[in-house]
Amino acid sequence: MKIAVVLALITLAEIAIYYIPALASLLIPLLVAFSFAKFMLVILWFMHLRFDSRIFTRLFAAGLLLTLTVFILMLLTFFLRGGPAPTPPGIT
Amino acid sequence: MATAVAPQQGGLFARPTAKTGWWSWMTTVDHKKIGILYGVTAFFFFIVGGVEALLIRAQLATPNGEVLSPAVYNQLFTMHGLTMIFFVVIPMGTALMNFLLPLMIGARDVAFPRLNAFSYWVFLSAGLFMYSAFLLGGAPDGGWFGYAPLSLDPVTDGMTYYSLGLQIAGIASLAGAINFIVTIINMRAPGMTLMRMPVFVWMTLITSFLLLFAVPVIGVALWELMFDRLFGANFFDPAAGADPLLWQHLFWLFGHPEVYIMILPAMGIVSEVLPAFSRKPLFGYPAIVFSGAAIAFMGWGVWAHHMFAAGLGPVANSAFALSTMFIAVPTGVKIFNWIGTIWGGSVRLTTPFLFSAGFVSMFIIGGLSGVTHSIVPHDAQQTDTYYVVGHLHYVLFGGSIFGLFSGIYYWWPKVFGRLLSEKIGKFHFLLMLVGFNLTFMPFHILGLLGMPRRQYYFPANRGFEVWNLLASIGAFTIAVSILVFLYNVAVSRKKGEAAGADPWDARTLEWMTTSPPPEHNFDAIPVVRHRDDFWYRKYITTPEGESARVFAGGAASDEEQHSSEAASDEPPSSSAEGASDREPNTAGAAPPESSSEERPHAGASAEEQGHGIHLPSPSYFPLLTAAGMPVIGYGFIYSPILLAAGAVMLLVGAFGWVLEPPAEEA
Amino acid sequence: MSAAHPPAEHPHTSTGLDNAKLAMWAFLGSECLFFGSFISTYLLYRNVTGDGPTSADLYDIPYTSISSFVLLMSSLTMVLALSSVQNGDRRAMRIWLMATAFLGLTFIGGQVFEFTTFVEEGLTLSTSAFGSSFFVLTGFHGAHVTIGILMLLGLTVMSSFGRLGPDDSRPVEVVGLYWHFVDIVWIVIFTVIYLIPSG
Repeated sequence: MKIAVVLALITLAEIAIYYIPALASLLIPLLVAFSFAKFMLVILWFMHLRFDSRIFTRLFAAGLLLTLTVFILMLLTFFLRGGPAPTPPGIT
Repeated sequence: MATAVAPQQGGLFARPTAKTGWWSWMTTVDHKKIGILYGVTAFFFFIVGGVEALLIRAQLATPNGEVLSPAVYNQLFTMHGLTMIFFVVIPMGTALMNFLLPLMIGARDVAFPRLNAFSYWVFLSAGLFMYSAFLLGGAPDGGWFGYAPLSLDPVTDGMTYYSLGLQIAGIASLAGAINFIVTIINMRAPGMTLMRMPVFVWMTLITSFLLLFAVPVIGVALWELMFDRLFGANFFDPAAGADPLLWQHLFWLFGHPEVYIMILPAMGIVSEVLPAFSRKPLFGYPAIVFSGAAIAFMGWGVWAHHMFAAGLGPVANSAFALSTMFIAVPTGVKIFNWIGTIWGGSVRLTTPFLFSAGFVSMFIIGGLSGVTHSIVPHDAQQTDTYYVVGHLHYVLFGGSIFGLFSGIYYWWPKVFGRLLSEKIGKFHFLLMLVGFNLTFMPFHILGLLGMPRRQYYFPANRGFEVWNLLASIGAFTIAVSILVFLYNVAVSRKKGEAAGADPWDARTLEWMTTSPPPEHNFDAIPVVRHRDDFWYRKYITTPEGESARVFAGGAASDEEQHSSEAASDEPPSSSAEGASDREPNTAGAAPPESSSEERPHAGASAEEQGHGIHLPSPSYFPLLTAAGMPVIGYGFIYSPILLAAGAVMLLVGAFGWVLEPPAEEA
Repeated sequence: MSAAHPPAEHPHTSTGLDNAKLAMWAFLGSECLFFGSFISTYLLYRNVTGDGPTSADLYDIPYTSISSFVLLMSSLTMVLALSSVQNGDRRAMRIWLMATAFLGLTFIGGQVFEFTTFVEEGLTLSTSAFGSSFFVLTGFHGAHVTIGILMLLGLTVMSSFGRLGPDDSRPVEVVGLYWHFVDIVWIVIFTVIYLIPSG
């Protein structure tokens, strides 16, 4: 129950900082941090990973870390080329 | 515990009871029967895919061939690739895994028997769905990796069938992978610690993890392709500002792990066969296991080497070239381990051994030509030439198919109770080895001469004639060798020698039980004390360091005597765990298959030494649920009514699945 | 929520863990890659809007915040459903399950309304790569929620068949895991897709 209150408060805070111009430069890091906090609260408490077997944690973490690694790599290769589909000269 | 629900006899959800005949195969949840179904189906598709290959080689036997029209040629090479990859190599591996996995780890079945049946029926329906496209206006014709925007070409529905058919096949693989992972983690016999598992089980586990994580990626790519083709989305259409390179990334993010999904089971088979016929334990077991895991892990970091010619830029190309070179290292480790296993062993040149040796040698050639691809400028020369086709057939045919045939010859007596003829088998091996090299060695030369792949003809006077003709002759030689194999099967069915439980004097648990195994696999679940436990039940090591046969009846005391000696090559913690924690579970405890999913009310008292073992009853619902999938597929293409019908089948199947009574009450 | 699970009633597995739960966690690991692929596609295309509207033209943050909040709270009711069944109170469990399903349905309704609004403002599946990736990503999340609702209804039916007592609470727990996962996916989508401005 306490967790749910914290989750609700974090969501409120997220929306609040979205509308505060003074925090514009910090917006993205703050949002990522808040979102990460919510994510962890749900998987650790609501999904009991904190209390449950390590095997479950490992299974899930394997998928999550693999996802982060390969897709950051993939988007990086696009970034190195300058974004999606830079139209080659002469082709329209 | 058993009071929660009154047993429901009969009624709406009565479970089928047939043990023999047509219905028993349709409703079976026995991992052995499902394994045989997988094997027969995959072999059927092997013949179909092989006939497609023969048609292709007939067309390319002479310059300007006129056997096939260009449109048909495109469909045939696409379907040949898709069939061999998704409907032959993967399911043939799954067939062996299904049959052997529970036997090898000393379990009565997989963790989710009905899910297992579901996987099979979904796999079958995916294959039939794909092939129905031939009758309904044209099969997929955009190559097995279906590059956009070619795959968006709206002339036929072929690539729509591709997107939906592979999606369905992926669901089957995913369900199977989850099932095997849970089985291996949770259903091992007492004492079967992870580092005592046969290597084939390890490779099954690693393959399953690869499937678990790779299938969703291709799933997303296929959904996006389907939305592009059917609903006018713009994921891959460059005209709308989208980037077709996204397809290549998603496809190869799946496609490269997929390569290891196809080769690792074969590596597992070889790691079982070589020790059995060298009468030596596998050389460097931990190295084989960890290099397998390393291959799987690194296999996620090399996908872009399929895209060197796509213009990723020098930084990305160099990074992926490096990772590709590194992945050769764990593969090399395995090769040395296999050679070390044979080295100094008392080798018996049986058919399974020969196929395994064929695997190792052909795979070395394929692996080396693979390393040449990691060099970017070299790859730029080879991309989309026959050199690549040669390479991939050396690893997939010379590798996977030889490995799978090794497994088929090795475990055939266990599955069917009769041996295959060694004489015919060796002839089969020889013919296949010669035919294989005759077919695919010229591909390398053709590629270096510059012949592009996927061309429906080649012009005269470019120096291509001889090599193409040789390749075509080789292809038909392979076809003859497959006929020899079928003849061998027919002979064995009629008058094959009875196998007995342990015809090869083998090392792992599946040889402890009768051939074919009883429905409940083992009368009593074995207690495992060693890696290669069955060997140590048969042999003791004399003080001079030689193996001596243990005679029946003496085993128990000998085991006691030698458990400490054999434990020395184990980590002390695991053997202690195996010996003390697991043993008390065995006597009279519930069998491991009493999972909550299948049997929520399993009584713990019923099992005593093979009597009164409750196995899950057959069920109609996996078949019904699976049959809904292709109906949904047709619905996407043709009519919302079919879509709704398929969804209803799926829902009814799923609810029936959940609500049907547990096994022992039927 | 506490760790007060009764000891597993089916400990006869090699690890002592429940098969179905292990399978669900493996499946969720797999789902990470599924949604990872869709989110990556969206990130690649979020500025490829062609002549169509951009995300800044469309997104209505207060509205989506409310539906996010609804989904977040459905996780709470799911937790309460599980603790009810573990305490042997089946009636309370059914109430909380229905509450969870209702909140999920509210979320889906909100999504349908949002999609309709976007279409009226000129963004469809075929307007641009941005449109395709937005609708398919959020649509597949919605499909997951829908499947979750069906499973919740299935649990309620099972319970009225007399199953799912305190000794047999695994199905509720496993469906709960799925439901929470769908919730955390939305936490990521809400932040990455809606809140972080594109440009």
